[in-house]
Amino acid sequence: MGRLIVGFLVAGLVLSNCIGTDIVEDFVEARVTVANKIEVMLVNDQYQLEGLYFDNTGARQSADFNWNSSDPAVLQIDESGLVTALMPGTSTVTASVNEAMESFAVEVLDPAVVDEDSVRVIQAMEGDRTAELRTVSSYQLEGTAILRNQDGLRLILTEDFETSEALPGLYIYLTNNTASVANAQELGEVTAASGQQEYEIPQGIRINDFSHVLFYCKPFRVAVGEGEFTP
Amino acid sequence: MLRIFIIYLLSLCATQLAFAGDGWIQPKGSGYFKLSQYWVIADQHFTNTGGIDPNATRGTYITSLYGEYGFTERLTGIVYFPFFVRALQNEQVSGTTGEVILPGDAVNSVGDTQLTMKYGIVQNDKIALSGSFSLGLPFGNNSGGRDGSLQTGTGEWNQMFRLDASKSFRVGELYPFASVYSAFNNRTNGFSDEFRFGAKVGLLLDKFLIQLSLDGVESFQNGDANFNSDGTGLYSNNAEFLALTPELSYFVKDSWGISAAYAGAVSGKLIFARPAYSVGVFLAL
Repeated sequence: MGRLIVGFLVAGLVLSNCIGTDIVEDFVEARVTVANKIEVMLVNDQYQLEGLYFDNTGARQSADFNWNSSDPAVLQIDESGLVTALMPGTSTVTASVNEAMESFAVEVLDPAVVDEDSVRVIQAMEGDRTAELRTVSSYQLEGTAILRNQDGLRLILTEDFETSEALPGLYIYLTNNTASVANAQELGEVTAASGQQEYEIPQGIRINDFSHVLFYCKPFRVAVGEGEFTP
Repeated sequence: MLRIFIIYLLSLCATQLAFAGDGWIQPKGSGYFKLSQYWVIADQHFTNTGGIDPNATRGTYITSLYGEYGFTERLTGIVYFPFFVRALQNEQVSGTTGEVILPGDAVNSVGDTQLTMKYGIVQNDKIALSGSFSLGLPFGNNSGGRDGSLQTGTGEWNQMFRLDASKSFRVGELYPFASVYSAFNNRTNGFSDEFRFGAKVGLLLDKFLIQLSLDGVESFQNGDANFNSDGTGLYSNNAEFLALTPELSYFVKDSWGISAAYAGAVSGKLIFARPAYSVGVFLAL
C-alpha cells in the first residue's frame, strides 16, 4: 500500500505539472487606413497624409503605400501621400497596400468664393467615431462607445451602456483584431456595469489607429463584446 | 441468514467508507482516511444565464487528505486538507503566426481546508441521521498568478450546517443504500450564502462499491457581484450547479482500497462546464 501511495502522489504531481497550449484563431484581413483624413482643401493647399497598415493579426506594420487620386486635375498626390489641391472639384483619394485599401473623398474649394477661416475650422475638426456595442458571448453587453478627441483622446461609453455584473475582470481595449488582445491597447477595467463612463487614451494614439472597441474578460481570456467604429 | 447478516454489515461498512456525506458516523475509535487526486480541465464555462461560453483552458488539480475518526459512539471528527493545489492556465498561441499571445501561468499552494464535527442524531437499523457543523478555513490563495486570477481558494471563512439521512435496504440478495442531505453554507467576505443538497444511491457487489451521487448548490445571491473580482472556475461567487457523480471503489483488502469518480455538471452557472475526475486510495481503521 505504501508503494501505491507514493506512486499515486508522483503520478498526481506529474499530471498536474502540464501547462498546455490553446490555439487562437486570430486571422483577420489586412487593413489600410489613413490616420489623418481631410474632407476639404483650398486650391493651392498642400497636406501630408499618413497611411497605416495592419497585418493579418491586426498588428501595425510599416509598408509601402500606393497613393491615388481619382481626378489628378483636381487633386494631385505623390508617392509619399502629399496631396496638392489644384482646382475646385472633388476627388477620391485611395491608399492601398497589396489588396488592402481605403478611399475617401476630398472637396477642393476656391478661396476666392468661400470663407477661408470656416474652411480652416472644418479642416481642424476631428469628428467622433462611434461604435454600436454588441455581445459576442452569453453575457449581456450593449450600448454605444464614442471615440472623441477633445482635450485629449477619450473613449466614452454612453448612458445606455449595460453589461452583466456576473462577469469578473472585464477590461476594455482598442484593437484591430477582436480575436486577440496581442496588439490591442488596454484602456483599463470597466469601472461600472452600466451608465456613462469615460476612459482616457494614452498620448500617441490617434483616433483612427484602431477599428474596434473590445470588451474582454481577463480571467477567462475571452471576448465578451465588441463594436466597430464608424466612420 | 448469517451470510445475509455479514453482507448487511459489509454494506454498512462500505457506506461508512463512502464519505462523510452520508448519515452514518464512525464508531468510537474507528476511522476512515483517503488520499485523493481531483482534477478538472475546462475550456468552457457556464455563464450567469446557464449558457455555455468558451474560455482559455484552465485547470485545477487538488491533492488532498480526508479523514474521519470516531471520538465517541455519536461524535465523529472530519478533516479535509487539500495539501497541494495547483491552478493553471494554458498559454495562448496565435493560429496565424504561431507566436505566443499570452504565456501560460500556474500557482501552487495549500487549498481551503474544512474541519467538521458530525453528530449521530439517530443511528439504528432503520435509519441513520446525522447533523454536522463545518468550518471552512481559507488556507488557499485567492489571487495568484501574474494577473491575480488564478486561485486555489476563495479567501473567505465559511460555516456550514448540514443534515444527512441514510438508509440501507434489502433487495433480494442485494443490500443497496440511499442517502440524502441538505446544508446551509454561511459565507463571508462578500460571498453569497449557499443552499446545498444532494442524494446518493449505492450498492456493494463483492469487492466493488458502486455509487451514484447527485449534488446541487444554489446561491442565495446575497453577496457581491463578480464584477470587481477575479474569481473564476471553481471559486466564482454565486456559482451554482447540479452534478451527477458515479463513483467506483474497489476493496483490495478489507481495510483498504482504491476509488475513481467522474463528476459531470447537468447544469450550472458561473462554473466550469467540463467534467471533473478523481482517484483515491482509502484506508479504514
